Amino acid sequence: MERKTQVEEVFIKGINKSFERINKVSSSKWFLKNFSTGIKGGDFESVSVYLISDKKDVAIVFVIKKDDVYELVKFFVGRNIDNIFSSSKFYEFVVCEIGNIILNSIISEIANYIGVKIIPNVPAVLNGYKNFILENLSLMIEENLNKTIFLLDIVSNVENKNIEMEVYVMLSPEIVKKL
Amino acid sequence: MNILLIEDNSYTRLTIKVAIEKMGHKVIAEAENFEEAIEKINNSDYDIILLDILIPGGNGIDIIKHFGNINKKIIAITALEQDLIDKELKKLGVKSILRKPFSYDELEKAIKEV
Repeated sequence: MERKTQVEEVFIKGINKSFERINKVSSSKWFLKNFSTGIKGGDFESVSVYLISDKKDVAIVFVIKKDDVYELVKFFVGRNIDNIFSSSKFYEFVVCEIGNIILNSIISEIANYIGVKIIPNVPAVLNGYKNFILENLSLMIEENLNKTIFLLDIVSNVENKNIEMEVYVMLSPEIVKKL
Repeated sequence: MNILLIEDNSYTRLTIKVAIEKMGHKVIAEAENFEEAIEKINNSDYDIILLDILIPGGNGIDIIKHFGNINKKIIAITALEQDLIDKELKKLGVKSILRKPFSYDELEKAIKEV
């Protein structure tokens, strides 16, 4: 129980650091809604961003419903952007950068807490159903990782509308022991 | 100021470029991966490097180490906020570290300070 509390504290500190920075430049307000373990029910078509550490001992994924991407990007970048960018690739680049900011903040907090340097890969974007993406990602690195998957439910709120996203963190047993 | 912008994300590169030009500086060259960065560092005439730490094919720390001493002003831009990485960047001569996402004012201040 204590171990989970410590993990929770580290993750929350990390994600809140990213929200402090995002909230300074975004017209929507970001916050953490819930911390739990396991994969949240309900599959959907998603745009997901993932990072894997160089030692393959941390894997972390940011998941947003494909249908919410346009709205999220609009409020992150600014409303007047529509006329400048029409490419769907542009939206992917923005989601990738949002994922990069959030995921690297969590990874950094883990690294700082256990006193090591963790260098992840460049963030990669995947389009597809959430469960398929999570299954494939865990297969890529399964042997290094603990079975426990940590989940952070996050929200971006604008004009009384909530856009909900999920962040999944998978850690190696060695890292979990140190937390 | 002539600026070499090394950043892999097209959206981020574009927003930084627009901000830099609004400040009256010039993005003299751009790179989006390790190899391009090495080539542009060797062959461009710049005053400041804006260097993303996570780029395809390597990372910003490796780029600085590759040259030993670039002898130019470097501003690191990154979403990472790790004590050991920050220490290493400072030790390698990086003048300023900007955390993503940063504002126009933060970028302007960093450029003025270096």
